[in-house]
Amino acid sequence: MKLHRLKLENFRGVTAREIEFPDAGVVVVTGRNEIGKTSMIDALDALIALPDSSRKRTILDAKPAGRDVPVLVEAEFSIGPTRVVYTKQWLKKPTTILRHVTGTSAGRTVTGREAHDAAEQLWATADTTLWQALRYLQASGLDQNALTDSAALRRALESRAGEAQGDDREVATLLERVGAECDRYWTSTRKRNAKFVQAETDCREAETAAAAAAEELRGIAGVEDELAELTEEITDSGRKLAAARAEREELDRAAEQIEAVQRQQQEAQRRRDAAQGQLDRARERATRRTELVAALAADEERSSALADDLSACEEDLAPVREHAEEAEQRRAAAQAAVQEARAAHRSAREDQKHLDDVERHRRASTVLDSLETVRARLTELRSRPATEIDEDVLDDLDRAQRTAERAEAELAAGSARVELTAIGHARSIERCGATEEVRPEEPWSVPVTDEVEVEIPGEWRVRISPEQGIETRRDAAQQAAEAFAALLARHGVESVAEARAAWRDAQELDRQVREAEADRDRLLDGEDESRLRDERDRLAAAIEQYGDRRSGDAPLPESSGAAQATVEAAETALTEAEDAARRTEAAAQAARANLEKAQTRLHSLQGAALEQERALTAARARLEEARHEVPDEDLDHAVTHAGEALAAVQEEIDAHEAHLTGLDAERVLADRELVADQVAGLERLLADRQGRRSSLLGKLEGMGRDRVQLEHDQAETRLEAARRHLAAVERRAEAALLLERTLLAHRERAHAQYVQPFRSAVEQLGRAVYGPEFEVLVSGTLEVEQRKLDGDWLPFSALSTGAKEQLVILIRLATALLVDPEDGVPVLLDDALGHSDPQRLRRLASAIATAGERTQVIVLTSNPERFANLREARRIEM
Amino acid sequence: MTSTRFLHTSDWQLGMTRHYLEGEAQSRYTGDRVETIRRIGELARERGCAFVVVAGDVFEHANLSRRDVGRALDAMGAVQLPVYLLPGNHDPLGPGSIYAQDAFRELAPDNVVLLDDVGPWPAAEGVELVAAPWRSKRPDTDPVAPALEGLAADGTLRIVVGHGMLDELDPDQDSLTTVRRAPLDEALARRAIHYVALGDRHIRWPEDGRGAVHYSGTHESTSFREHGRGQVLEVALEDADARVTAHEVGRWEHRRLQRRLDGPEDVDALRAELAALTPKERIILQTVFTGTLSLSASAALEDLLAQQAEVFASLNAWERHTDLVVVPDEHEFEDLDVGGYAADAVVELRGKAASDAEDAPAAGDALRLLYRLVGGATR
Repeated sequence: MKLHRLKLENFRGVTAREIEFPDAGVVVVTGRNEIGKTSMIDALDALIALPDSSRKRTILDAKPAGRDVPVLVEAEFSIGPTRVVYTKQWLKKPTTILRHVTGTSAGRTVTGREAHDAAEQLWATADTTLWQALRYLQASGLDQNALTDSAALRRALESRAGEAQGDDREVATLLERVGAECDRYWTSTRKRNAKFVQAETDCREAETAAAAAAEELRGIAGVEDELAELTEEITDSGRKLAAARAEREELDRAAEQIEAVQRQQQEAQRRRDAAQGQLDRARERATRRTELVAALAADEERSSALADDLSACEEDLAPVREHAEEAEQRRAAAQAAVQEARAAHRSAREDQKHLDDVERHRRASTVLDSLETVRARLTELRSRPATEIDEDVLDDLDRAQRTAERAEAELAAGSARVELTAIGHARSIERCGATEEVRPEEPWSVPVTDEVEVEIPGEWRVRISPEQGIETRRDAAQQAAEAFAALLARHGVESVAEARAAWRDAQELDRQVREAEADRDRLLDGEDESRLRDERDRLAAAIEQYGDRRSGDAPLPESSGAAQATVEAAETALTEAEDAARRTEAAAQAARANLEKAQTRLHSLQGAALEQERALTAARARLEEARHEVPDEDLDHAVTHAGEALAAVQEEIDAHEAHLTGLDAERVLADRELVADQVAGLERLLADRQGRRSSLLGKLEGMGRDRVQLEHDQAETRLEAARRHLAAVERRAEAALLLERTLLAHRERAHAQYVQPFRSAVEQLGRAVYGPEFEVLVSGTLEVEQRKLDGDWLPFSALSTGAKEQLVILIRLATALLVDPEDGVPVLLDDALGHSDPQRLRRLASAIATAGERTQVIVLTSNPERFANLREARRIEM
Repeated sequence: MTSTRFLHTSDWQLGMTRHYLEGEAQSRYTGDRVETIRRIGELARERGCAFVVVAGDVFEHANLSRRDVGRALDAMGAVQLPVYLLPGNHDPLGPGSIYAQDAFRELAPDNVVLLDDVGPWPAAEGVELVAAPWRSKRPDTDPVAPALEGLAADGTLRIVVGHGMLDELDPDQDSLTTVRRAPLDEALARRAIHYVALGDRHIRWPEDGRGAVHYSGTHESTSFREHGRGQVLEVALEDADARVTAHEVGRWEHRRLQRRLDGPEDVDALRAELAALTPKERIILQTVFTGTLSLSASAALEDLLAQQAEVFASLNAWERHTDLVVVPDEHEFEDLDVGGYAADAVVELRGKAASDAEDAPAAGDALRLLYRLVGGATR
């Protein structure tokens, strides 16, 4: 196929464009980005594939927005000897025109659908696989296109491989048809497709439906079986019921006879019960009479015993009463003794208290007197004159004295000294009019603090004047001495010693005052003095009052100790008297109780005797009355008579019993009851079964038997059909799959033979770009799997984007070089080699130029610099 | 001694469906099975029969719609002679029985007599039917023998009407419901009975028509085991001797076509054979082909069967017994210009198709498909 001319109107961004391509060689179409280079390829595809009526997105999107204009594409191309101009207009006034320029139909023009079909037919004769495979579109990535389906390439490769295979193009289309057949039953990955699965599902569903219908039908059969069984059971129950009823009638008859005898026996039993009643009553009456006689005898015995008890009781009472009176007298005497002891005890305690009061009064008076003495001394001490000298004053005085002495010493020490030593013997000196003797061992010395004048009498008068600086020291000594004197004067003392003595006197006075105060506090011992005085006065009054009150019978004890002894003796006497009183009280109470008990018993015995007398009288009266009514012998006679009557009727009963035994009454009656139960049970069972039968019949009727049967029959028919259909589908599917697999396996083997020439072509071209070491590894599907460069094999997937791009372009160029020019299609490179360096670009351009010698190469680019090396190329600017 | 003439038929199994019949074929099959009763009536009247006995399995099951029962009884009414119906294993008495249903009781015409009690039924002056109806679905004894009890050779002409498989025909020797031959022979020998009209076997028996114990077979074919069309037996009892004549009344046929096909000429012969079969709409055909065919012959066969399937009531292969190998002959693909690796694929598939491999049939099918796809079948 060769593309000669392409014209676009209103296709995407292109308003109007027409490009003519040279029949051979390289053409570089340049234009800035977005100018619509790729749109040209899409437009060509649309021209071939889409009828003018198409509303596909490619067309709808191609139309410029907001403009009501037709989309138009026109191409002039050759396939084999046929050259045509093919024009198509979409959307507005859809038009298709195919004009034959050369070939068998040269000069013929067809339009409309006929034109579309004719173009499609023509196009189908071109190697469209190759046309798709030899494009390199930046947008579609770096994939290697499937080359094995290209018949032209295969022919070329076969020819190079030295093989002469058949018409592979035919085979390729056959494979497509086989694939299409497979697609009827299998998915693209050759798993069961929807139609196949549907057939299986239909079959399964038909099986399920048939099974369900069969189950429902079995349900009906089940009910029928149940009914049949029930009917048999009903027949059986009916038979058993009739037999039971017959047996019951027989038993009823036997039972009637038995019941007659039983009635007679019951009558006899009633009479026996009456006779027994009479006998019981006669016996009871006789018993009661015997009891009356016995009761009278007992009463008489009790009366006699009571009389004896009464007289004994009266005899016992006198000593008890006497004892009680004596005990009462002793109790009174003891009470009197207690009163007396209590009075003595009280008196002794009052005496003791009195003596205590006297003692306390004496002590209070003594304390109060001592307090007076202490108070007088304190007054005297506090009246003595005070001194203001204290420790601080003493310290001040000491300090002033020491300061004066130090100043004086400093005055002397700082001054020159005059020392005279008598040599050999003592000599006299005269000073200030006075003579002093100086001994040889003791020189005379004075400091020169003032003008010193010494006269050795008769010989020398020596005057020594002090040095100039002595004035300062003298003033200091003078001031210190004056300050000391002033301080003494202020405190009214002559010297420090005097001041110290005054201070010691003041200390002594203070000690004495404290001593006196301590004496006072010791005497008071925490007491308040005024309260002490009150206490003394109160005690004095109490002592006086007790003296007036006390009787003079008994002498007052000598002392408090004696009083205490008296009190203790009185207390002991009182305790003893009280103990004695308690003892006599208890004895008296016991005696009183004994007396009361004896008296009570006597009264009780007297009451009982009276009662017994009355009872005795009544018993006698009852017996008398009873004997008057029925004499004792009549009662005995009645008992005998009733016993005889009872024996007679018992005999009669025994005879009936023997009769019933003979009739096997017990068994007959029990059997009759059992058989009656059996009959009732069977009747119930029968009714129940008949009820169930009716209900089952109703159920059977309501089961829609004909419908169920019809559904079952139809389901079976459907199942049969579904199975047959599935079997057919399976068979056809397996056949198609086997055929496809076999064909593909053989194609794979065939393709393996094409690999070598293809590899050689790629390597030859590649070595021009990469150098002599370039090698590739090609798969059976003509894909470059690995590339060797500089001794290293790299898988295609691991190559850089630039290297991949170069390689896929090389593969396309090699392919173009391989195929027969008659079969060839244009190589289309769109926006390629953006990732390659200038050196590689140059070499690739050379490879492109080589390919261009054999086929059309169309390069679309926005970077014409990349392809500057293509000197022979025709350049078209858009 | 009296004489009588009647038709013996059985196993009408009205309401039966055949699952290999699709659509209208099934409807016609069902309708025709009822319609044949009318022809039986016509035959009976034509042959001067006194009555018709149906020896069991009058109905296929008890689940017929009132409409279907009504149509069947209407056809029986059209017989215009007494029609004695014996309950068989498909339509026994008992609860749920088709004979207990309102449809039957209300719609049965006067000439239809249900033999629902065991023993003799007067059929004509001096003629008795000795009925042995199935009283339940699963009897536990010979279904016929009890009916023979107490029958004396008193000059009454007796026809036993029973249902079940004779012990000499029953493959199941332990079956409880086998009809014992000995009591029948004994009763026949002492002239207590004179003919035994049996049902259950769908094929007439014995084929030579001799003796007094007979199966009439079904009136319309029900399976591929039954050769030919359904028949009824005309029985003439005269001086206690039975003369039995078979009459074909059925219109449907189950036909199994077993052929060896080894070349296009065999396919052509088959074509001619199928063309001769008639009436196709009432023939249920099952094919059993064996042999080896080339692709073109196989394609021709496929076309033939596809055409005929539309004409016959049913046409299906009996897959289990079909063993037809398809192998292309050497020139078939050459003529079709199959080259390249496809030619190699053909060689491989051909080898496989002719082998005993499991996928040999699939290989044959694959070749046929290939043949069709390259345009072989259309040339």
